[in-house]
Amino acid sequence: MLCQKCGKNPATTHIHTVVNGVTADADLCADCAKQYGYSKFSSNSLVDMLASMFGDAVQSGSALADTRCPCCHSSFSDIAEIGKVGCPECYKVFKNELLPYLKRVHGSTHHIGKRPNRPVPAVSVDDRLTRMRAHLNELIRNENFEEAAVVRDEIKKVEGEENHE
Amino acid sequence: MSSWYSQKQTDDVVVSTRIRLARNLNGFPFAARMDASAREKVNGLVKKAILESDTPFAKQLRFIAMNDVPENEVYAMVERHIISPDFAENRDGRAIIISQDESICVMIGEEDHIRIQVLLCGLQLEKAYDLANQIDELLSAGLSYAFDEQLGYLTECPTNLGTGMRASVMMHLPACENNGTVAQILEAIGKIGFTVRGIYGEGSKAQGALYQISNQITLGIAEKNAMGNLALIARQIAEKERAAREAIDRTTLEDAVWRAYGTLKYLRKVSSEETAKLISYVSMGVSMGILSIGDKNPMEMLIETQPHMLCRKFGEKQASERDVLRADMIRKWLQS
Repeated sequence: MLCQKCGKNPATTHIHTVVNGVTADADLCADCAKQYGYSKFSSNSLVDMLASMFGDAVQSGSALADTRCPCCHSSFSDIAEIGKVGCPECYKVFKNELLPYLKRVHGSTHHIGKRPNRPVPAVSVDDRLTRMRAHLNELIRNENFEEAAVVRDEIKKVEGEENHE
Repeated sequence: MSSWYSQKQTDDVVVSTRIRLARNLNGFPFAARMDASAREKVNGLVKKAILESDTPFAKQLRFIAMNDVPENEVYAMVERHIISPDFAENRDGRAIIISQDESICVMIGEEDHIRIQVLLCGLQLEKAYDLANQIDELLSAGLSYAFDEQLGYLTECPTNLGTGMRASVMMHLPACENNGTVAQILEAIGKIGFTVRGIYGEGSKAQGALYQISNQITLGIAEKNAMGNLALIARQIAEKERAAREAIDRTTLEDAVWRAYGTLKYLRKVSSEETAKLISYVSMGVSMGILSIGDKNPMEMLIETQPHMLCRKFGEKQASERDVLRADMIRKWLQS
């Protein structure tokens, strides 16, 4: 169901009002609901938690505030508002913004395990390290030093665990 | 083959095992942003990939559009743990592909485009994963999955990112609940990346001392490792539960079990809450060799007498009428 006001975004807030005995119902998206003073209504505590973890990541007027996913037109505030991502493409567009959050939730930013159309790996620490080192090299090649530092620390941690075992 | 809850119990503490894989397709927004035509397309793609495949699943599974399912049956499916409460609430454009014994259920258009679920009796994590993986292989061969080399399987909620796998076991913990250790266990496992829920998922209360324990972390840990950790935790909790059961004074325990059995055998009306409590005692009594109910699984009575399950069988009934029907069913079940 799309928002009754803008007709563009999915309606995520249902508003039921009773004024002088007259009832009215409206289904709005997060942005439009906010304009009417209704925001962060959710019975889902997980979604609340997610939304609060994204925090006030978007400051109005910043470059991020104007960035929208070319596929589903979500902005990062849309995602932060409901704690849910718009479409697969959003993960590419907002990857840098999402990574710190993923780190907090999962304690990691790298997938280990099954990949489509490849057999389920019997994962060992060695496999994980090989993959992480390859990713680190790729980041260094692309001069993405900030993320490379994070990966480098993760590798050190895994190596430490391995030495412990 | 019968449903998970109708088979003879194979484990004294772990009641059932569930594996759920979340998958999404490229080229479509995630479910919350899909319109009716996108939902129809995704339903069609998944249906074709499974039901027109050259595998036994094509014959074993069938497609059901949720809007074609009567209201009571929808909520009876929730009570049988086949679909999530959220899936039941918003049925427009949603569908399932399900096996005869309901052990395999692919939900289409829930939070993610595809949720492959396998539900088995007792503790069978590997078998459940193997089945889910076969469906996953079938789907990935014919469809373009949303996957990122770094982030893994892409999901609408970032908490499912990576493997997209949620493995859970439902555990019967009456003795730990009784001596108060259940709260400590729940707190401890929460700290190491596992969650505990009531039997009907997120936000639901524990009924009949049944607790669902599942992995929370899906990114940075392989499926097999996550399942291994869950099995380890489940075994440790089961040990605690067994020790707590043994620690109860035997005569007091036998008295409580037989009282519950006697009540169930002769009652004339009973609420679902009281049924859950009584069945919990009987189930513990069966596990500990205090009484025998043959090959019957106490879970069958708990599930079959849930409110919507009764309405599905007997038609729309008020709560007071259901209490009488529930009592009749339980008496007959124990006498059969």
